[in-house]
Amino acid sequence: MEIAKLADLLVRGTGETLYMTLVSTLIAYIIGLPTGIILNITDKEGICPNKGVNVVLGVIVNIIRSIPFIILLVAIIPVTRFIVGTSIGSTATIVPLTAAAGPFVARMVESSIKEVDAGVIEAAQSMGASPIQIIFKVLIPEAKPSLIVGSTIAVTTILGYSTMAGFVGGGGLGSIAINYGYYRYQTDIMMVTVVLLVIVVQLFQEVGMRITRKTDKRIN
Amino acid sequence: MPLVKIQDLSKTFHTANGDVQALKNINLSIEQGDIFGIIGLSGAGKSTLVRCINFLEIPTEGTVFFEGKDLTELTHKELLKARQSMGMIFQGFNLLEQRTAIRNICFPLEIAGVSKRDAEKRARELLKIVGLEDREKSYPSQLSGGQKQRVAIARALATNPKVLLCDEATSALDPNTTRSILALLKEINETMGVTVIIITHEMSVIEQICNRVAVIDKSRIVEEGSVKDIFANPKSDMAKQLILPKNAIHSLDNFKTVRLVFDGLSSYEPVIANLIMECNVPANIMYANTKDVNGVAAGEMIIQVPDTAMDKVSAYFDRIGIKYKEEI
Repeated sequence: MEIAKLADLLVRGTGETLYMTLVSTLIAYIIGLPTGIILNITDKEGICPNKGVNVVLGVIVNIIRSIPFIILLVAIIPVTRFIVGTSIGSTATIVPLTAAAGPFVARMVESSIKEVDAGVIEAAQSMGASPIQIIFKVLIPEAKPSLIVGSTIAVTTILGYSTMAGFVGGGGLGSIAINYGYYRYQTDIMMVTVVLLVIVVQLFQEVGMRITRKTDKRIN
Repeated sequence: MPLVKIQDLSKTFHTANGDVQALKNINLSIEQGDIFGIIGLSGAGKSTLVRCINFLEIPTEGTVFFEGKDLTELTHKELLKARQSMGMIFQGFNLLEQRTAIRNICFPLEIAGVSKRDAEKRARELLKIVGLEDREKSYPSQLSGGQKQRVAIARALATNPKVLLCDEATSALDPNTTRSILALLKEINETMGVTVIIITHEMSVIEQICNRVAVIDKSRIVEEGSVKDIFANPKSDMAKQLILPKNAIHSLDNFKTVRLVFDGLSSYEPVIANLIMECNVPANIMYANTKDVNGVAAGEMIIQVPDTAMDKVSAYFDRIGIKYKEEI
């Protein structure tokens, strides 16, 4: 293959991978952040204990999390077709990625929020703060560094999932690695895609850690 | 009308290992302007009691009146509002780690819906009162324990509360810092008229600033009164255990052991020297814990005097007006 053509392919693949990963992460957080917070506050140690909500939500999250991603990917093809109109390509891949990542993000958020010192929450309650005020003024701001670390882990995990989607025509670097490297035995192209993936992961990790260090006021 | 009135209050926790009764039939009245101490050993129920005052713990039975209002009858919203009139500080400070000192102090004002500008103005006044005007932009991780507690005090006072609840507020601090924090609480009580309720396991805290004290033991109030009275004449076993010297002093044959309480005599009066010279008795000091508080002697002393001289010794103490008790 010509170098120019190859470069074009890889650039497009990287672009698609970033697009899938970032959009899926964003939607996963739109779902997972409130879910994680609800899981935390409805826990019996939380600020609004509610066993019913906690158990139902917890079971749903656990069920989705226990399905292997590659199975989920195939199983929800009808849903993907219904939402996107097709089950092939990077936009279609966003649907299963989000479905898998949402519950994962919810658990990450739940555990980050759990790290907030119970004493600080009690102090806010002693000042007459309502649960909503506690969520937005205490839980989220105090857990922010941990939430950012969590999102770094989430984004790299979702990146990994997105490459799996290459097996079913999901687009991005994963597809290139499978189509050229695996089916056509072009090991060199596979190696290049792997290197690109490593670089992308490194970048996410580094950026995430830098933001965390900058936001966390406990380490100064 | 007392500012805080605790009436027939009981609290039971339902745990996996059965019910635990943390408080049994508590009755207390705390008047406006008091510095009220609640002392007890750990596990006695004192932290639960202070949390019942602002309904962070809801009593199982009985109620709390705050400014004459029955807290059990308030709606949730009214209760949140009432809590803005009750500041609280903690052993662990409980500052927001991701906020600067000044923004920590603004926090209760944000909750109360005060505008940002007014909140910051008030926060600066308070930083000045607690002596930290130069640490406005510091994060809690950059402050010492004593400084953190000062920020916490400023934060608790931001909404102009009527009462300040202190839950073991000095237990995590060294003795010098403890003294300065207690002095600050006393100053706030005197200048701002804030009633202070102090939970502690240290008699020295009570002695230093409280005017009234309740002793709590095994979930019950066993003794209550003015600090002077209880310190001079503790009646309950728990009060005795907290106040009297720890190591038992054995009486010798033919000797009487006498406990003297100093709470008003001049520090400069040589009480023991005069006793020896006037009564001509060989008084032996077994234990002493006295200090000078603004020229007045405060504390206690345990001496032994011969049986035969006891009448003379009693007469001497009665005449100079010192409280004493034969005992132990």
